[in-house]
Amino acid sequence: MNELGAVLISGLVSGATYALLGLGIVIIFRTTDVVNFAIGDFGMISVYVAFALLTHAGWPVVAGVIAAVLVSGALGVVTERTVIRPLGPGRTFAALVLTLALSLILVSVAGMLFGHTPQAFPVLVPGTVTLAGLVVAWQKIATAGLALVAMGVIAFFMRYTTLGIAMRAAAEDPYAAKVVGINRSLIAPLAWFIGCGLAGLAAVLLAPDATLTVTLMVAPLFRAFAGVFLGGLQSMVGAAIGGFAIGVLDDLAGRYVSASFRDTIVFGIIVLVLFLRPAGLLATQRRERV
Amino acid sequence: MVALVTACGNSGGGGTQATDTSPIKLGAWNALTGPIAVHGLAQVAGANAYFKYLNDHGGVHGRKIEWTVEDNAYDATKTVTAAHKLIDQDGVAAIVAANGTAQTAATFPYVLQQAQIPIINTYGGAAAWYSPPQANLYGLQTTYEDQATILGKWAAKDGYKDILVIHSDPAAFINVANQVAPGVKSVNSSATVRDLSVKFNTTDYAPIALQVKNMHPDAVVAILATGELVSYLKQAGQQGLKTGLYSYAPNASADVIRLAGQDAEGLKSEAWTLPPDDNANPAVKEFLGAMAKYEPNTQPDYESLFMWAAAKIAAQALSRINGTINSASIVKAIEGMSNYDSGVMPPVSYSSSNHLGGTQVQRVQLSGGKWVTVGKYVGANSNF
Repeated sequence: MNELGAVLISGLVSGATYALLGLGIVIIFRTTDVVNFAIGDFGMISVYVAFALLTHAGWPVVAGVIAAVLVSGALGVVTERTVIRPLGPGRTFAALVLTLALSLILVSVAGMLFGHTPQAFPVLVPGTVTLAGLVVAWQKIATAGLALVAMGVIAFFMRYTTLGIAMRAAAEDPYAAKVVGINRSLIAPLAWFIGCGLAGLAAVLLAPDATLTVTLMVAPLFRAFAGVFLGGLQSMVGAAIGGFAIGVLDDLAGRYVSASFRDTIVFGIIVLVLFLRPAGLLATQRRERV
Repeated sequence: MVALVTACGNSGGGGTQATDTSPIKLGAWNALTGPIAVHGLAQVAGANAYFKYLNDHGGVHGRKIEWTVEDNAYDATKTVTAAHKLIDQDGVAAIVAANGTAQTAATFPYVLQQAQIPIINTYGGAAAWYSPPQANLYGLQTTYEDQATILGKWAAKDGYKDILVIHSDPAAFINVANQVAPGVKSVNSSATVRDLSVKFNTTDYAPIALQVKNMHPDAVVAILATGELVSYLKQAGQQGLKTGLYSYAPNASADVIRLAGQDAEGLKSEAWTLPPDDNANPAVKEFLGAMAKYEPNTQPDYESLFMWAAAKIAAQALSRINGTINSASIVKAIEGMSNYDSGVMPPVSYSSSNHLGGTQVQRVQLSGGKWVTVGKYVGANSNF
């Protein structure tokens, strides 16, 4: 039982970061119709910045985490303004390809700037605690806690603030939102800032448990997308739940079925779910805009 | 090194060498980008430092070595393209100090058979490459399979009776992992050897560490890439796992110390060379001096020292050629090397029937954040 608890905790912690990434993907997609494949790489670059600030400039941990969020968010805004917006509306596929290209470019540039030598990212919260007989690192507890807080803040922002409601309105019906005076050209960069900022947070939380390389976010992004498709590309709640589900399924499959086939098992389950509910578990079938 | 340069300078060579001052062109492929680049860059730095050092000390028979490295990003297809470029465009006489088992194997039909260009001292390889020997293919590394056997013997000699082999799932890792058990059994036939296969490139080792904890082995042999070994060490440390821990030569590196920190303490490993910080050894000191001068941005490591030795051994073969230096004469020269001691690794011998020069390793253990040698050089057939 102890072991199952440890596997579940480990899965939930991993899932928290996938959920953050997935949430970022969905916020950007719902607001601007762009599936951003470079989102993980914005996070990766922001972690290198945080690494430099923490280890070379001696910044405190909290400042480093905030810097990562801001840098990643800022990269998102710059990308929206300089790469995505010039494409014009309705160029969904072109935007998708561009973000893929941007991802490859960012990895190469990061390799040139930061090198390919793996770095040991400092643990944000050192030490362990024993919970019901389980040894759990404070880092993992902090990761899950921060991820949940971030999701709560986003939920509050979307539900109760004017800007959040405007973002939801623009996502639901861009034409009607425009009629009532919502300026989509302001909403889009905000969505990219929030979405990519969440990726920065996910990346900086993942880095201490991994080693910092330019490919830091490849596997997590893969799983975040799986969570998004499981929960539904249109549903923020679905993306978050999907991320947690992937994290837990991944670790359960790795421990109790086969460590060698964990991807196969997890994604086999997802394929099965998508056969039954093509829009995902929590999203409604999307209507085409005409 | 002084001896080699002197030998190079005095041997003079045949009539061709007396007038030929053109560079001797050699080539290699390595992962300069991508997830394996951390290894590739260190390896390239070691060989590059040697060739630059050699050139500054007169080269080979007065000719400079021109060593061209192509980035294969650890990809077999790109390696074949790199091989064509090196041979067809650059006109290299040999591939020296390249990297990658599957990647290099993909070039065999063209490089070894069609172009008949020798491939010398690759970082990587498999036992099947050299048994039976293939024309134009010469290796330096004690095979991973032999290393696995040595690890098994070592763990059993240390008194462990229930040994778990954790390995990545591609066939190359499985073949190596399968050789641990024979080593264990040769020392203690009643010992148990179990197997845990993990998907290659797994980043989250938390469930693996928990599984190991549940299996209660008294020792673990890890046949994993460095990044994955580090992930395992961290998670095992978090879970308070206390087992004997062994790994093979690719993981005897400064990266393991830097990335896993205290969690790596006590790790036992094999190494192809002496510790790269052994300043008391003149040959290692020579290496450290050259690295400081020619590759100041690269921390000297086991990988760079191994490739330094790979380049040094190849250059030694070149220096023994009296006459035209081409692919055929290089093959003849290397097959004439017997018990050559580079000073930084076990002596190597090649012949027409033995194309694998290295068969021994140096055992090391992480103690106080430093690799420390354990005993003398040993091979798969050694009693130690």
